[in-house]
Amino acid sequence: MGTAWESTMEANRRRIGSYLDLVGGLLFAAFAAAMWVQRDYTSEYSGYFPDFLLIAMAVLGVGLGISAWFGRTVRADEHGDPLSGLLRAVVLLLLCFAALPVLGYVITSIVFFAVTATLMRGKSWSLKGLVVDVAVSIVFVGAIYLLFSEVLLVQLP
Amino acid sequence: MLLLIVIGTVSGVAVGAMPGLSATMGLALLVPFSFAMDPTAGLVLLGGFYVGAIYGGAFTAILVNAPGTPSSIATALEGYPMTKQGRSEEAIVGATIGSFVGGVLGVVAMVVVGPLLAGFALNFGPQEYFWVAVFGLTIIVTLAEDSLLKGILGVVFGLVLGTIGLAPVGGDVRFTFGMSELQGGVELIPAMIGFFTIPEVIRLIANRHRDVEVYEQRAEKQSQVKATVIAVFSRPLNLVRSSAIGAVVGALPGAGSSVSNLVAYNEARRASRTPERFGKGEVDGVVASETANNATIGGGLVPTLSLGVPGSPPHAIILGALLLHGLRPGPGLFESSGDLVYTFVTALAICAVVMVPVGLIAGRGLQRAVVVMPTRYLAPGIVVLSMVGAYAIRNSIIDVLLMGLLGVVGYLLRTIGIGPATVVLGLILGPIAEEGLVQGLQSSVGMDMPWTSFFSRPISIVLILACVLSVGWSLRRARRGPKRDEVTSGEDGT
Repeated sequence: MGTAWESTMEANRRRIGSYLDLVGGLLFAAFAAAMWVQRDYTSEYSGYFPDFLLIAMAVLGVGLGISAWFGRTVRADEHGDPLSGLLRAVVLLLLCFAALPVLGYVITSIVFFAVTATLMRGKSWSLKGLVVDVAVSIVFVGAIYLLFSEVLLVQLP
Repeated sequence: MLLLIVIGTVSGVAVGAMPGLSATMGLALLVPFSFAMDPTAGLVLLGGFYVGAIYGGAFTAILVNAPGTPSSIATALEGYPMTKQGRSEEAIVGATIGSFVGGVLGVVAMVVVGPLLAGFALNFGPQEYFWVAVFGLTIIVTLAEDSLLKGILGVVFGLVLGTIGLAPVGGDVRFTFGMSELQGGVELIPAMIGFFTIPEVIRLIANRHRDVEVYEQRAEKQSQVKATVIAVFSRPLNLVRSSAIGAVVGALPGAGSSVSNLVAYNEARRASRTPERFGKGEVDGVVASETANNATIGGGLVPTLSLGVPGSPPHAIILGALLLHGLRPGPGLFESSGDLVYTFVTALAICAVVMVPVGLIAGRGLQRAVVVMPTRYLAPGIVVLSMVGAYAIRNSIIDVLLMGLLGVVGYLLRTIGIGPATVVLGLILGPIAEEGLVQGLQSSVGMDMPWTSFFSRPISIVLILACVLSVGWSLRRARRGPKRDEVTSGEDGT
């Protein structure tokens, strides 16, 4: 019973792996094509190296797709990260980076730090915890900001 | 003077330990301060800072998979898995001992075989640099653990990213998609943080509590300083080989510690009796990487001081500091300012010694801080620091956005089995390879077949043979690996 379940899981894992490799291989080929369209060289040797690389990337991408299509996939690492958590992480990070030019380093970092820390508390969320997270974020970001802007003289946005 | 050494080393360790803050940047910030001092004190401060910064990069590489500097990439490959296994203290002690030995042997190499190394480096033309880069790329056979196809794809992707922006020769603007902000290309440090660190942060945020359990287990571990020191010194060949690699690669202008740590790691893995342990948390990998990147400091000073040709960006800043103080680097420097040069060299060796207590106290303190820090603060804290690191390189928000974008791409690449090291390897070696290729072709333009110049020069031929041997040896080892594993597990089982 256990062996059957394990082999089913292994088959599913390989199927998902093949699918990911197929998509990944095609994306590499598409990226190479998008770069190829951008080619606009004016000097003699500027294109030698990148052209070779773009052709190699397209060929390797297609090769990965073909090997995945025929089920010859190798799964190097199984993360098993929860999809909802993944989406939360990516959205938080992208919002943070997008807000940086608008809100500046200090506000963006404090908000990102506090929101992330609070969300990572999960079900153990509380008002007291929120206050602590906000306080920690202000102290941490404030210290970093002062260190760089006042001591190291690096002006942050 | 000793106080300056300690101040320089400690501040270097602090800067190097911050993701994105490189030795180059820290040295550049320090030069104005050193200018107000007398030349000897200024150079000693810069030297201490440089040694500390290269070593400091190991901390974050080991603890949070965020190499503080490009010279710690290979450290992260082994150090972070060790942290996940609750062996971060062992990794930090290994890195400290490796840095100490590499720092001292690098200085010894500089003094003893410096002129020889300088002469050797002068024989390197563009063709040789091209082959050095190709030799570096052969590491992929080792780094691509499970699929060579994916490993090569990762390297090619990194090489392609390296072609974005101004061409190194000719000045063509390439692959910017009409965005003027991309003309400067993909900066190495934001890309490195993106590929190594951001995917790890994504996983921390996505899983919320899972890694906390892993971190908490470490607090129960006993101190492993003595055992690790004995283990590291019980394999002296690893230390000597990595130091030699660091000194030689450091003496080649343009290569530097970004390359030497990866080459030394690769050789340590190839020479190991248990190569299957590499990539899963092998202290020898950490030691090799840290030994080599610290030996690069001494090696890189050979062409800097004796020829006036900096081996790497940090050496270029030290060269600038020498010029600011009215010194003329070149063959006559050792005679005209011998007292200053030898004080500087001696100070570098002392810095390597000072680094041991500083590293063991600061490093273990940092390690324990990370151990007890809740994941909900660790993850956003890394991002907040990484943003500063990415931004501070060129004062460019585009670099921060690129870091974020490449971080998400890095996560996706990991899910299909392409590790960050392969991509970053391509990004580091791509410009070196292209510059060598184009300059080599230009310098041979009078020949009927300019390409043949890459295959006819004596050092090129040696490097080609080294490339073939490197790939052949690694493939042979990989093919024999499973059998060895079976034998080993059989022995364990009996």
